[in-house]
Amino acid sequence: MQTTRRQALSAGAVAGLSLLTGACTRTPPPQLPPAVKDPQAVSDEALRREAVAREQELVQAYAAALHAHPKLTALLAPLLGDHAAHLAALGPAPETSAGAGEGAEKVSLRRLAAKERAAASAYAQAALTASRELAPLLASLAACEASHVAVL
Amino acid sequence: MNPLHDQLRALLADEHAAIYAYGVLGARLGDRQQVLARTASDAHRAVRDDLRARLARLKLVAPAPAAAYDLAVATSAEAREAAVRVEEQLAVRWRDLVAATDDKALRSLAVQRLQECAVRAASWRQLSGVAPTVPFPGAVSS
Repeated sequence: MQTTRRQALSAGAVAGLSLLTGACTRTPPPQLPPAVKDPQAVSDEALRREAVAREQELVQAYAAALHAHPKLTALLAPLLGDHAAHLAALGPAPETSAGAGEGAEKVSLRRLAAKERAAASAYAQAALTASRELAPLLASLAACEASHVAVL
Repeated sequence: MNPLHDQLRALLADEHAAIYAYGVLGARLGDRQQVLARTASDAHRAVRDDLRARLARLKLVAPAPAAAYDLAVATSAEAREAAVRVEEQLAVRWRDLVAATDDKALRSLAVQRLQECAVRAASWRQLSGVAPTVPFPGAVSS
């Protein structure tokens, strides 16, 4: 097999690069040029991250409410379970958003309902611009949060 | 055949069935729950009328209701279960519509209807004393 000029050049470039990085002995995997991202994929990813953050906040609010009102466990635990399922369906969490200071706050049922109502309308809005792959999930989340408002 | 049009027609057919079902199951419920059944039925009638109008604007033939539907309800518990099934089935249809269109107005409508179905299903489950909510209303596996 003949080595083309381009291959030789890029091999040289990679070798030069590893010389420059010096201390790093393992050859790093060749870097592909960044793909031009589909705008819909970018927008979906932003919607998904917002959804994860929203669900994390709801999970924290429910945990705080359960802590403050253990007698409401029968009512609140299944709703918390729904949010845990939402998080699982939405995929990996962005790294920064955990622990957003809801913990110490007093969480009343009324406040939980307000949060659920806000989430329901945020999801309903997000479902309008999401891809056809993501939109049904967001629509289901909008519906679930609406049903939580009714139950609370 | 336009798949979106097929979905709108299927939705109307299911709304016809829902209205019929609420008529049958409402008769098996006590006074208070009958009020809820009537409210739900009224809501489904409004949705039916809206779907008919949409199909007419699209110059599509609207499916007529069947003369009768296969629905046996003997007790109030069965009546509530039937109501939950009605709402769950429609939730699946509305969620499917969300995935079938990029039109924001239609998607918005579908999401709103899905929410309404989920809320009614939760009310009926709650009255039956079972876990009132599901995490993914309208998802077939939910």
